[in-house]
Amino acid sequence: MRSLLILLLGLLAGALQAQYPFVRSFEVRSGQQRPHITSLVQGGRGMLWLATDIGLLRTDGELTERIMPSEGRRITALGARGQEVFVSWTDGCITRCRDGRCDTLLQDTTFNRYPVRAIERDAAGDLWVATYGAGVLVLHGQERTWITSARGLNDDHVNDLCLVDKAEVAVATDQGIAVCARHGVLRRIREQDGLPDNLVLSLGTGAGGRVWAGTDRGGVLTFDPGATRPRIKLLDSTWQHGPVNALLADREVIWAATAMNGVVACDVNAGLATYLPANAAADVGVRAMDLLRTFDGAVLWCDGSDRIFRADPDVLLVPQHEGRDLRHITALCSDPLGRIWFATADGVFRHGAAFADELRLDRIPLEAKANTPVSGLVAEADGTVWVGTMGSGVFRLGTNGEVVHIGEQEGLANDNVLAIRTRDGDVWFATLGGISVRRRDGRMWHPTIPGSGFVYDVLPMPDGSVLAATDGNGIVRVDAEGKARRVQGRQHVETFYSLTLDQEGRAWACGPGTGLCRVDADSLACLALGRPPFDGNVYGIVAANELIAVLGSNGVALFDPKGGGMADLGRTIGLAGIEAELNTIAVDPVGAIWLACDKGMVRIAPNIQGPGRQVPCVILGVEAGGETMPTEGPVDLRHDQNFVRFRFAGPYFASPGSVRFQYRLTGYDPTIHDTRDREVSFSRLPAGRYSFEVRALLDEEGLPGPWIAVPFRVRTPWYRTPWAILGLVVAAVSALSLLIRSREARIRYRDRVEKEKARFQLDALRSQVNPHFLFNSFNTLIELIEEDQSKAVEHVEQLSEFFRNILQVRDKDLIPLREELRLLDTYFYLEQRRFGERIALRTQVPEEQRELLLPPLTLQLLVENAIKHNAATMARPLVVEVSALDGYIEVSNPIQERKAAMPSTGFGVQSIRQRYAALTELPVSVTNDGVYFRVRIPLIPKP
Amino acid sequence: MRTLLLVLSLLRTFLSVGQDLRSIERSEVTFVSEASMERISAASIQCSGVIDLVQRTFALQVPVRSFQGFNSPLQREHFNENYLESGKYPNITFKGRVIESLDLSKPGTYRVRAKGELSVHGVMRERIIECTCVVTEDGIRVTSVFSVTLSDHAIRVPRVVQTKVASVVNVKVDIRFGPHRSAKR
Repeated sequence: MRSLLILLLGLLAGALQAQYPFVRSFEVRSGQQRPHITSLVQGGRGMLWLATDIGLLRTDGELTERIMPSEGRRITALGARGQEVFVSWTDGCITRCRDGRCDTLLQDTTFNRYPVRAIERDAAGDLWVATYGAGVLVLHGQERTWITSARGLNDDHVNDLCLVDKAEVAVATDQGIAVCARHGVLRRIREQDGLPDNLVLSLGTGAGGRVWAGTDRGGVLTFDPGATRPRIKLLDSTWQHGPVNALLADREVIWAATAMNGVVACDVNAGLATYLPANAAADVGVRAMDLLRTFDGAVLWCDGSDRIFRADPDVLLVPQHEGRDLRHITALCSDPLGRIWFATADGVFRHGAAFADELRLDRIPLEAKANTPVSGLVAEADGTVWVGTMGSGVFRLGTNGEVVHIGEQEGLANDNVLAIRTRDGDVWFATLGGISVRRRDGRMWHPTIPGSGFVYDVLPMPDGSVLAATDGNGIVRVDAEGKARRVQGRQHVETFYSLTLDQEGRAWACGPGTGLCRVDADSLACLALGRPPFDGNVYGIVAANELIAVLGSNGVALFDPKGGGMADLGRTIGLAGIEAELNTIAVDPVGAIWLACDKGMVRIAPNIQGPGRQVPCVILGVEAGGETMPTEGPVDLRHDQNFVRFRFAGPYFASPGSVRFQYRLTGYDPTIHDTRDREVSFSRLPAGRYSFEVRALLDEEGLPGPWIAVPFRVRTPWYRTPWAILGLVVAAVSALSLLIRSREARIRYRDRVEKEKARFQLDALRSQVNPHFLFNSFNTLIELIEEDQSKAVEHVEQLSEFFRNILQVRDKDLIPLREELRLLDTYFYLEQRRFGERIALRTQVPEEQRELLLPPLTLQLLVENAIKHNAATMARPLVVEVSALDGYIEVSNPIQERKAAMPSTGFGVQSIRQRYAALTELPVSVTNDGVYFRVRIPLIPKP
Repeated sequence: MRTLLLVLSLLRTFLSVGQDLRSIERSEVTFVSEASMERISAASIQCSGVIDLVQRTFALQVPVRSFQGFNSPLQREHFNENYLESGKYPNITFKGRVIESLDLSKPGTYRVRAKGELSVHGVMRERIIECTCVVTEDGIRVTSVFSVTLSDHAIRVPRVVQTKVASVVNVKVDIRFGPHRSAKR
C-alpha cells in the first residue's frame, strides 16, 4: 500500500512539472566573440556584469563592453554591492569595479592556490572572501581575519557565502554549513544535525531571514540561522534535479540553478509544484550555472554558453497540464471563485485556484453532438456557467451539477453560438442567426438586427441596451424596446470581433483592421490604428484593471483608455506571431489576465507593468578630446577638448532590442533626436555651458523615462577671456605708440641733422665768401696782375677751382679724406699767395687712412680758424699740422697770439661737434695746453 | 614513473601531517560517444595516480595518446590532433579530494564523491564525481561512470560531424590502487 502511494506521488510529481514562467533568452556578443558566461551580477545602475572566458563584460542586453580582458586568467567569482562590483581572478587579484573603472582591491598569493569562490560585502562594510581550501577571509578595514578549520570552520573548502543579517554570514563548505560572525564560527550544521548532504554548493537568504541552501545531492533546504539548534526543512525530499549550483530565494518562489534540469523554480506555498524551463524535458544535459534576480523582479541565469535567460515571474505559460494539451483551447473564462474554465476538442475543463497544483483538473461531461466545438464560455455571478457550441446550442451548468441544454427548439436564434454574455441575470447569446437573450425568468427573446445575422460578440450595456459585433454591419445597438440601429464609424469598417466594457461603463470594440474603437451613443472613435498588435489579426479584447488587454496575432498589448498609452507585452515577453480563437482572453477575480493561444495558456499577473513602464537610462562614460571624464559631478572641459563623446545604455533585459533613446544637448541644440545607438558625439563645440540629456524608451510606446543629464562646460580659451583681450589691446596700443614715438624721434633727428648740415653749409659758404678772404685774394690778384700776368691767371684758376670744389662737396654728407685733403691743398695754396712763407701746412696722412670719410670742409674750416686766430710772421711762421692716425685726424697749430684778432663767426669747432654728434658716437676732442691747439676728429669708416 | 613523480608533485600541495599513499596498480579508463550516426569508444590502461587515504586527496592522470580503440586509425588521429590536441595538452588530469569523511583503509564498500578539478584539453572544470570504492586487504578498487560535456572543455566539433560525435561523452573509470605501503619522502 505504501509503495503504491509512493508510486502515485512520483507520478503526480512528474505530471505537475508542466508550467513555468515565460522564459526568453538573448545572446551576448563582444565584437565577433561568443563568450562563455559562467557567472553574472547586476551592478548599481542596473547594468549586468558577466564573468566569461574572455574577461569581465558589462551589458545592457544589447550593447556589451569588455571592461577587463582575461589575459590568460579566469574569473573565479563575482560579487556586487551598491555601485561596486567585485571580481576575483585566478592570479590572486580581487578587483573592484565602479562605473566601468576597475582597480585592484586585494592581492594575495593565497588566492592563487585556493581560488576565491564568493565575495560579499556586508552592511558594516566588511568584505567576506570565501576560498576553496583556505577558509574565509574577513576584511575589516585593514584588519584581516581568517576563519579556517583550525578556528572551528567545518572545512577549509568553502563553496558559497550569504549575508544572514548585519553581522552574520552563512558559509557553505564541503562539510556542511557554518554561521559565522567576524570573529569566528557561531554555529555549525552538518549531516548529524539533519543536513541532507554535507556538500553544500549554494546559499541564499529568503523571506523572514531564513537561509536556503542547495546541496550536491540532497536538493534544497532551509533553516533559521538565528536558532541555536536550527531545524532543517527540505524543499523536496525527492529532489531529482541534481546539484544546485546557485540559489535565489524570492518571497514565494525558490529558484535553483541545477546541474541537470536547468533552473528549477519551486513555489513555497504550493509545495511540490515546480516550474521547469521549456527545454528541460527535451535535453537531459540542461544545466544552469548562476542566476540572479534583477531589480525589476525577473530572474536571469546563464548556462555557460553565450546566452542569458530571463524568466518573467509575472507571466506564466502552461502548454500542457495533467496530460491535457492546452495549445488548442477554443474558449476560456474565469468564474467568481477564481477557477478557470476552458474548452478544447476533448471537452470542457475546470481548474481550481489558478493552477495551484493541489487541485486537479475537472472534466465536465456534456452531451453535445460530434464536431461541435465549444466556442463560448461565461460564468454568472452565482457560479452558473454557460457553454456555447458551434452547432449544438448552449448548455447551462448549474452550481448543483445540473446540465440544461438550450437549442433552437427552446427558442435560441441559432444553434451556432459564438459568444455568451450575462448581465443582471439575463444571458445574451451571439449566434450565426442574430442575438438571443434568456431573461431571468427563463423567457427567450430574439430581437431582429439588420444584415446577415452573423454576430461575433454581444455586450449588454448598463443602460439596458445591447451592442452586437456583426459581420458586415459594424456595431449594432439594440435598445430595450428591440429597435436596432447601426453605430456609425468614421471608417467604412463593417466587421467587429470583440466587445468589452471598461470600468467607467464605456464599451470598446475591435475587429480586423479597426484599431481599438470606443462605442459612443451613436458613433465610433477608433484609436491605435495600425499600431501593433492592431496591425495584425485581433482575436479579443477584455477590460482588466483600468486597462484593456488585447490579444492579437502580433502580440499581446495593454491599452490605457485614459492616457492612450499602450504597452506591447508581446515584444517584451516574447508572445508574438500567435494563433488563437476569437475571444479567448479573460480576467480572473484577482485581476490576472488569462489568454489561450497556440503556444498554450498564458497567465499575466495583475502587477505586470503596463503602459507607463519606464526604461532606465544610464550614462556609461563621457570622453572629451580622447580623455575619459568622470560621469558624476559637473564636467569641466578645456577649449581644445571640445570633441565630446557620450556613451549610455538602457538596461532592460525583458526586450533589449526594443530600447531606443532620445537625446538633446541643451545650450547648443534643444531639438530632441532619436537614436538606437548607445553613443553620441559632438565635435567643435563652442565655449559655453551645456547639458547633455538622454532618456530611454521602448518602441511603440510614447512614455519615455526621466531625462538623465550630464552638465558640462567648455571653457573659453585663455586668449578669448576678457582679461586676455584687455591685455592684448593694451599691448597693441603700447606697441603702436612706441612705434610712433620712435618714428617721430627718427624724423626729428633727421630734421636736426638736415638743419645742422644746412647751417654748416651756409657757414662754410659764408666763410668761403668771407670778405677778408675775398678782399685778400683780390689784393693778391691785383699784385699778381701787375707783376706776373701768367701767375695771376693761375691764381684766378686756383680760386675758381676752390669755389667749384666747394660747390661740388657742399651737398654731400661725407667725403673721403683724400678729397678733403685736395680741397685743403687748394685752399692753402690761395692763403699762401697772401701769407707766403709765414704759413706752412704739414700733412702726414698714411695712404690707408685716406679712404676714410669725414664731413666736407671740416679740415678747411679748422685750418682757416688756425690762420684766423694766430699770428703768422716771417720770424715765427705758423705751421699747421694735419696728421691722421688710427682712424683719427688731428689738426694742430702752435698758439701764437694775434694782436688784432679776427672777428669770430661763432661757429667754428662747436659746429663741427654738432655735426659729428649726428654721425658717430666717437668724440671730437679739442685740447688747448697753452702751447698747442689741437682738434681731434674721428674718421668714419666706409659703410 | 616520471608521470607518477609528476602526480606526486601535484599532490604535494595537499601533503601535510600523516599520509597513507596508495598508487595505481591497474587501471582502465573508457569513453563512449553515442551519436545518432556513430558509436565511438576507446580505452586507456595507462592511468597513473595516487590517493592519500589520510588526507583523502588524490591525483590522477591519463595520457591522451594512450587511448586505444576507435573505429579506424584515422579517427584516432583526429581524436588526438583535432579534438583533444594531445600535442598541446598531452594529459587529462583529475585531482581533488574525497568529500565523505570515511576511513578508506578499512575493508568495505563505500559510495563516495570525489570533488576536484578535471582538466581536459587544457580547460579546467570543477566536478563532483560519484564513485564506488571497494576496499579489501589487496587494495582499493574505484569504479565510476560520469559524463563530460565537450563544450565545457572548449572541444569544438565541426557541424558536419555532429551526427557522428556526441556533444556529451560518457566516461567509465575502473582503477585499482595497491595495498598499503609506507610513504616515501
